[in-house]
Formats: sequence, C-alpha cells, structure tokens
Amino acid sequence: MSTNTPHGSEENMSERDADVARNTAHGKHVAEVRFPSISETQVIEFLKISTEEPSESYLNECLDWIKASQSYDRPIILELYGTLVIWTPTQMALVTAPRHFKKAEHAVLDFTTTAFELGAIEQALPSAWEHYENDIPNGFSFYNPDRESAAALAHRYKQAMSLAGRLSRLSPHIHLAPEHPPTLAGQLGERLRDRSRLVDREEFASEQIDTIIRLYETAGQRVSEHGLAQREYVLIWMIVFLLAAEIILLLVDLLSTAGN
Amino acid sequence: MNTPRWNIGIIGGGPGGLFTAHRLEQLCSTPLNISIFESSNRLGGKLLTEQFSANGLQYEAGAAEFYDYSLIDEDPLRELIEHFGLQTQSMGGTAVVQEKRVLGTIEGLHDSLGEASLREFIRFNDRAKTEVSPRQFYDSTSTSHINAGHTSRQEERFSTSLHYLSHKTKNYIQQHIHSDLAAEPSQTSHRYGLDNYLMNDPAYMQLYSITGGNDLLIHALACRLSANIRLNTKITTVRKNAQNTLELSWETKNGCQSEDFDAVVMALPIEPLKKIVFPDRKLETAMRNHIMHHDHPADYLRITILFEKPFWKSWLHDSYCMLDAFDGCCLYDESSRIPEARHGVLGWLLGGTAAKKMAKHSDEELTSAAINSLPFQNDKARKLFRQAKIHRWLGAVSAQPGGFQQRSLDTKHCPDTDTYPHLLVVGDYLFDSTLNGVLDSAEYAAGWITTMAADHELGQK
Amino acid sequence: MVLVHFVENLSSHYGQSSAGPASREHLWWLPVGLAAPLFTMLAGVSYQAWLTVQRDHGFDDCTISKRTVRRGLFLIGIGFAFNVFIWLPEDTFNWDVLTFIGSALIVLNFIRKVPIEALVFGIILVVVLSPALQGISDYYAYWMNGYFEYDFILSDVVLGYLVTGYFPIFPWIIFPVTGFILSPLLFSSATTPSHGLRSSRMLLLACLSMGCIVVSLLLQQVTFLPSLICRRTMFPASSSYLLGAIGVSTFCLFVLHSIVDQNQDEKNRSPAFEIFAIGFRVVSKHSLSIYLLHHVIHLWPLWLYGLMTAGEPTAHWQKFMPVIFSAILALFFCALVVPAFLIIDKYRVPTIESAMRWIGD
Repeated sequence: MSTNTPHGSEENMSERDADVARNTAHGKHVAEVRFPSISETQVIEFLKISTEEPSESYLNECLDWIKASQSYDRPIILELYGTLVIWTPTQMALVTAPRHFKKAEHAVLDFTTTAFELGAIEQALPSAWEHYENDIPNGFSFYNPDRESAAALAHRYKQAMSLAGRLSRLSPHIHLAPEHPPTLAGQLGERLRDRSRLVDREEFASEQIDTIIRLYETAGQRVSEHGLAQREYVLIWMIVFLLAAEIILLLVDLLSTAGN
Repeated sequence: MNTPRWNIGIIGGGPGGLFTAHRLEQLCSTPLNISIFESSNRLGGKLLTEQFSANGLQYEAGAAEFYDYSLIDEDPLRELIEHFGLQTQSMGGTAVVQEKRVLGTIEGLHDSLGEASLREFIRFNDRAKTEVSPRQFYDSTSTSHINAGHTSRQEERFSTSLHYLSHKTKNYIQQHIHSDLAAEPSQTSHRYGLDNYLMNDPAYMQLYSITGGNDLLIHALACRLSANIRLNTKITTVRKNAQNTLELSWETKNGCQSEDFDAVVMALPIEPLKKIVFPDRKLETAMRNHIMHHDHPADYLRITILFEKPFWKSWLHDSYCMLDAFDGCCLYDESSRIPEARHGVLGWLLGGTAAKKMAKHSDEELTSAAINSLPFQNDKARKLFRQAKIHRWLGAVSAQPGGFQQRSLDTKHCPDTDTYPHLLVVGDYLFDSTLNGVLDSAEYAAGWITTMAADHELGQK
Repeated sequence: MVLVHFVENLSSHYGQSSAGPASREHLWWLPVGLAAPLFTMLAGVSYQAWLTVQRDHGFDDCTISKRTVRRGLFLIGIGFAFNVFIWLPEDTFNWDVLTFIGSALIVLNFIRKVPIEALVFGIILVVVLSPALQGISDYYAYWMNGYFEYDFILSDVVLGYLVTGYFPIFPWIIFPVTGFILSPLLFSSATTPSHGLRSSRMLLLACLSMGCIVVSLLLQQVTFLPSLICRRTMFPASSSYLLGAIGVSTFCLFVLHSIVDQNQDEKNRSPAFEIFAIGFRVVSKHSLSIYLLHHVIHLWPLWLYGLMTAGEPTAHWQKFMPVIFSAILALFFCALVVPAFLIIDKYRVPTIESAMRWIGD
C-alpha cells in the first residue's frame, strides 16, 4: 500500500499538549517532532486534528495557529479529498478523519523528513563552493605541491562525495513513483513534494554537487599524477647522483694516477 | 547523370500525413517531390488548438494530451517533440466523481463503494497488471511484434471481462475509462479495454501536453517540410496508370484535375477513406476489405466552456477528473495549462454512445447539459458562464484499432502488396488510436517508400 | 673557531709538545672541533632562509640563481685572496673553508630544486663514497706533516678541491646540504605566522641527531673497519666524524635556535639574556668579517715578527706562546669583536658582507 514510510530517521516525538482540553472528543493536540539524524536543532511543531467534521472548517484555525508564531510567510496549503495539510519548515498542521489519520500523518512526516534532509544538503552546499574558484587551477595542474594543499583538496572531495551520497540516498524518496490505485498517503506525499519543488531542488543540488565533484576528481588525479611525477623525479635524481658518483670516482682515480 | 525525383502524393494533412512527409524527407536519399492534399482549410486533423473569441484564451479542441511511454522504452513522438524544441508540461488526474462525491484515493473508494466492492476493484486491478506488464503494454503499441500468425482467433469483448464484477465496481471502472475508450465495452476487445484502464497507472504511461497548444507540433512539422501543401483540395479518385504510376484526381472550380505519383500514402481516418473512389476493381476490392476490417468507429464530443474565473479548484485539483455524467466523461481543467490565466476553462470529453447521442443536440443544449453535469457549484457556473464551444468528432477514432484480428504490418499498410505495392495507408486506427500509433504507422510507410525508391534508383543505374 | 685558530696557529707546537690541549687528540677539541661543521651547516641553513626571502620578495628563479652564483664566486675569490694575503701564496689552493663555502653556494643553487629524498640519498652516497675517494686519492700522502701540502700541478689542485684539501667538496658538501634540508624544519615562510618548531619536527630533529651520534659512536667501536671509516678524524673527515659532527651540529643548531632565535620576541627577558642575544646576533651577521679579521689580527703580527726576527714569516708559527695565553687572546678578541661591530653597524662602515651584497645582488 503506502510506500511513504519514514526512512531511517529517528523521530523523538516529545508530546506537548498545547490545547488538549479544547477538543478532546475528536483528538487535537500539538506535538514536537525532532529529527536528530539531520540536526540537533531541527524541530517542527505538529498540530494534529483528527475529526469527522469537514477539514475546511479548520482551515482558519490552523492558519491562525501558524501565523501566531510568525515563523513563515507562505505555508503550503493542501486540501485534498477531505484532508487538510498546512506545512511550513517550522510548523505543520494535519486535519483528517480518524480512520485516515495514521496514514496521512505518516505521509506528512515522511515528506517532512525528506524536505529537511534536502534542506540540510542545500545548506551544506555553500561551504562546498567556498574554495571552488581558488581550486580551479588545481584541476588543470597541481600548483601547490605541499601536503596541506593535497590534504585540503582531499577533504573537500570527501565533503562533496558525502553530499552526493546523501543526495542519492534521498533521491528515491523524492522520485517516488506515483501509486496506482492512488492512496491518500501517496497523494499527500506526491502533492507536497510537488508544491515544495523537491524534484527541481534535488536536480539543482545534484548539478551543483556534480560540478564540484568533477573539479575535485580532476584535482585528485592531478595530485596523484603529481605524486607519481615527484617519485619519478626523485628516482631520476638518485640515478643522476649515482652516475655523478661514478664519474667522480673515475675522475679521482684518473687524477691520482696522473699525479703519480 | 541527374537522378529523377520521385513523386509522392500524401492524402491527408493530419498528423499521419505530416509525419509521413517528415520521415520521408529524413530517410529518403532519393530526391523527392512530396505533395500533401488536405480537403479542409487547415492542417492538423485531430490536433486542434482553438481560442475563445471573448478573450483569446486557448483550449484543446481535439487531442488533449500526448501519451508518454519514455519510462519504459523509446518514445519516438516524445523525442520528436523535444527535437522540435517544444516545451511540455505533465498532466494527471486521479479523481472520479460519483454521485457528487470526489473519489481520488482508494480510501475514498472504500467509503463510497464499501469493502466488498473495493476488494473486487483491487482484484481487477491486480489481474489487469498481471495480465499486461508495462513492457507488454508498451509493445502492444509498437510495430515490432505483431504478425498475423500470432492472433488466429478473435479476441473476446471487454464487456465479457467485466461481466463477473458487481454493479458498483463495473460502474466505477466503466466511468473511469469510458472517455478513453470512446466506445462501449461490448464494442471493444478485452485487451484494448485493459490497455485503456492501465493507461491511468503512471507506471504504464504518463500524460503530457505541449505548452502553448498541442497544435504547435503541427506548425513545427509544417514549417520544416519542403513538401507542396495543397489545402482545400479533396482527392476524389485514385487509379493506376499504364506507366505503373498512381493517378490522383480532385475537383476544382475549373473541373477535374489529376496528377501522377510514383507512390501514394492515404493518411486518412476510415470515414473519409470510404469516400475515395477506386476505379480499378482489384484496388477497390482490396480497399473495401481494408476498410471493413478496420471500420469500428468511435465517437467523441467536446464541450468547452469559458467562465469568468476557475471556481472549481476546491474539488478539481488536477488537470482532469472523471465525471459519472454522460455514462462517464472526462472533465478537463483547460485553464490549468495556462496557470497565469484569470479566467477558467472547463472541457467535457464525451465518448461512445453518449457522444453520438448528445451530438444531435444543439450547442446551447449541450452547454446547459454540461453545466448541469457538474457535481458542485452549478449555480455559480451559470453565473460565471462566458462562452462555449462544441466540437463533434464522430467516427474520428477507432473503437478497435487494428481490428479484432491483428494483421501483419505489411498487410495493414498496403492493402494490395502484389498489384499496388506503392499505394500505402497510414493511420492511428491501424495501431492504438493514438498519435504515437500514427507516428509508428508513418514511420513504417516512410520506410517502405524509401526502400522502394532506393531499389528503383539502383535498377535505373 | 676563533679559539681553535688562535690556539692552533700560536700554540699547538709550543714546547715541542704534541700532547695536551693543543693536540688535536685532546678531548677539548671535540666541542671546538664543531666550529667548521656548524659553520658550513649554517651556510646551508642561511641559504635556504635567504631563498625564502628572495621568493617572498617576488624575485624570479633566474635572478636568484645569478645572485647565488655571484655570491659564491665572491666567496671563492675572497677565499683565494685570504689564502694569498693572510696565509702564504703557496697556500692559494689549499681549499680552505671560504672556497668551500663559495663552492657550496654554487652547488646549492644547482640542487635547490632537487627533492629532499634525493638530497638525503646524495648525502648518504657521499658519506659512503668518501672513504673510497680518500683511499683512491691517497689522502695521507698530502698530509705528511699534519697539514695540507700539494704540488702545484693540475691533478693535485683538482684532487685537493675534490678530496684531499682542507675542506674538500667530498665529503664536506654534506654539511651545507644538511643545513639546507633542515632549514625549513626550523623556520617558516615569511608569509605565514611563525610557529617555531612543532613537536613533530622537534622529535624528528632529535631522532636525526641522536641517530647520527649513536651510529658515529658505534662505528668508532668497530675497529676492524678501515680508519677512514671508524677513526674519528677531521682531516681526513672520516665517516664516524661526519656522522657525529652532523648529529651534534644538528643538535646544537636546534638548541641554540630554540634558546636564542625563538625568544627574540619575548618581552620578559633578563638583561643577561639580552646581552647574550645581541652577541649572537652581531656574530651571526658579521661572521665572514670576523673570520677574516681574526685571522688578520693573529697571523699578520706573527708573520711580521717571524720575518723580522728570523727572516721567515712562519718561523714562530704554532710555537709562539703557551696555549693559555693564546686562549686568553682569543677570548679577548671575542669580547671586543661584539662592541666593535656594533660601532661598525652604527656608523654603517662597509664590511665584507656588505661588499658581497653589493656585488652579488
């Protein structure tokens, strides 16, 4: 059925009942969801309203709740087949019938995890770009033949590859094939991914990472070539010294014979 | 020594004729003179993008979407569109409106149909997918594997496949696919019915349209052709000459005119094909045989209405949904193709018996029926109504493309290979009633002519 | 160096004694005998430091090479002039330390871009080959009387330059090359903040120096090996001497660098340390001038006295006064030379170093 399962993230749901007394008959409360696998500070408030009433009737209440924290200007608002989802990076609200609630919640949390992971990768990109311009010459030839430069290039390559690995692990969750027959969870996930442009953002991030990796791969080749050339160079000089030693020995022998 | 040019006559200025001309110009190394004869005053056939006179807003009056098979294998039509530099946008729609309830998910189905019907539907879905894999679905639309020896018997009708289902489930499935089928389940085969159900699964096929109007494909083709295009020229007769060429005749103000061609391609639907006269008896027999085998007409009726604003966004989220009105029709949100548009455009696509029946009504009656068929906000619709356009496509597609007994590709495209090897037929009705099918057909015909021309050139040398 | 030369030239054969403090076999020669290795090693260290400054100032390789060669040739010229005018004309080609350092500069210019691994290999090669070269050239035949004597023929001159002279290329070239290699470990580039010696580098230097000393001591115990290898002799520079000298010189360099150079910027220094540091700075800056001056001061009076009293300049050489007096004179010279050169610096009096810079740069 639903393939939108939370992928490997440990979510510590710490319950904070913000308004339990208000609508206990239908189940309405605010929970705090953390994503320690992404970041220690990554947390989102989750307003859950499980009700048989039409979800449209809760739209204003949910929007007021989000506006009250002044966290975000343009939330994603999704009203779909009796389910209401309002999503911002710091708060989200879900209103749906009790029989659909668990699957819808699952789908929303799964999307949130994916969005946050992609956001974390996007935030890591500027630091990967930081040294790009300065490192471009090393893609052609290794100009700074010292260990620190090579180590720095290796570190940046590892950084970029790490980002690429994270992005490619995330990619199946972004490019989830649409389900057929469609399920509520599948539809929620698909539309949330659409509205937040996850596919485009993943493509942009991937292109950037590819560009960075290309440079550092090439630079790595140059470093390696330089190392090989250095070793060859050393060997050549050793041979030169050996030959010079031979010549000196012969010369000294010749001179001492001539002297005698 | 100058190589003489080959004269090719193409009857029909729709996608079939234009695709054929385009492929001939690409494939053929022999110099060609191509003439395209179109009876109407425009090119494009079933690809027609129109505008409302009220505000110039575009809508699709003919084929509303293209089928994307690129997930499974090569999609020559998609590649051609991309080759022309045309932008595309995805289309999709999961909802079926039944009894004023929008059923977009299986949860909704469960609430509406009940547990038992839902299980039946799931079983039908699973069986359909077991019977036809995405690869098999793709292959049924390509030219590669079909040959007469494989299909020795007639296929059973799709209605038989649905017979065992409960009324609710059968109803739901029929409404789901009725507008795609453009025919009743009894008029089409089991496999064709399944294909029309499975095309709703994104794993089998996806939909897209061309940004700016689907007929941009026609414009792109036409401006790249060096063919001689003759509009308002209706071919009346096709006969063979003593010189072994084919003579095409047409009526003008000055009387009958004719011209000789080394090869002729008839890229017409079955109905106009019936109206051409073939004086040669053998040819006439062959063509009659061809027509009879493929004559399974299906009807479409398009009702497109311009409103002051798109008031349906709360329940129609996608490019289209299926309505239970008119035995199941497809309701397009045409204005979703143009997100910046202030106005709203809805398009009803009726198919099959309902289309044939409703086509007899006047435009005003059709408009009123369409507005009444909306599950919600009918009053608002009436209030916001601006303009309506009706397009009748009766007999424009085939309910059973390829016939109930599949023939070989050669036989499909050349009704008489012995005596008239240079008279070919191209059409979507030979394959799957889609533009992809007509491109495949055109490809085949162009390849045939190219080979003939090359042989002829070698013979001359 | 000053002490060695004063004692050796004024007192080493005083009272016909070849034993005691004047004897090269005496233990006290061990530390004073380090002057030459340390001096030549410092030539390599300072050349590397000079190269860094040149590069930081943006001079290209060609300019650097020209300057190096000019300085090297200048030193060789001074060396010849020193031999002729301060010693004796017949000592022109005795290949003393100045001609050696000049030659070393030129050699360093050619090898400055050779990888360190290859240079280390070269050093080992020289250490290994030198006994063979000394054997083939019959080194002792040129040192019959305890000092270098040669016939003025091409082969002797060239052999002296290469193997048999006072400071021949083989094996003494290993000292400036070692200094050249060690310099980056001691100093950092002018463009980066000076962090001094890091613990890893300190460890490396300590291991290097201790290793060389240990090997030297071990070689001295292996008496069945030829004397050119196992005996600790400066002339000829045996293998055990070379290794011991490298080890101790490296250690001294490291210690003095840590104590003196690393504390240049410290604010809380005692007055005694200040005087100490000033002394080192002046001596370091004017080492070439001091070298020439101390020879002039103690040799020219000796030659003149010998000429006046016995008609022969070398009449009183090595037997003029007791060791204690020559040592005191040496110390007196050392004490006076610092203020003297401070005054020279103050009044910008031209020195040999400034002349070298004027010609070389």
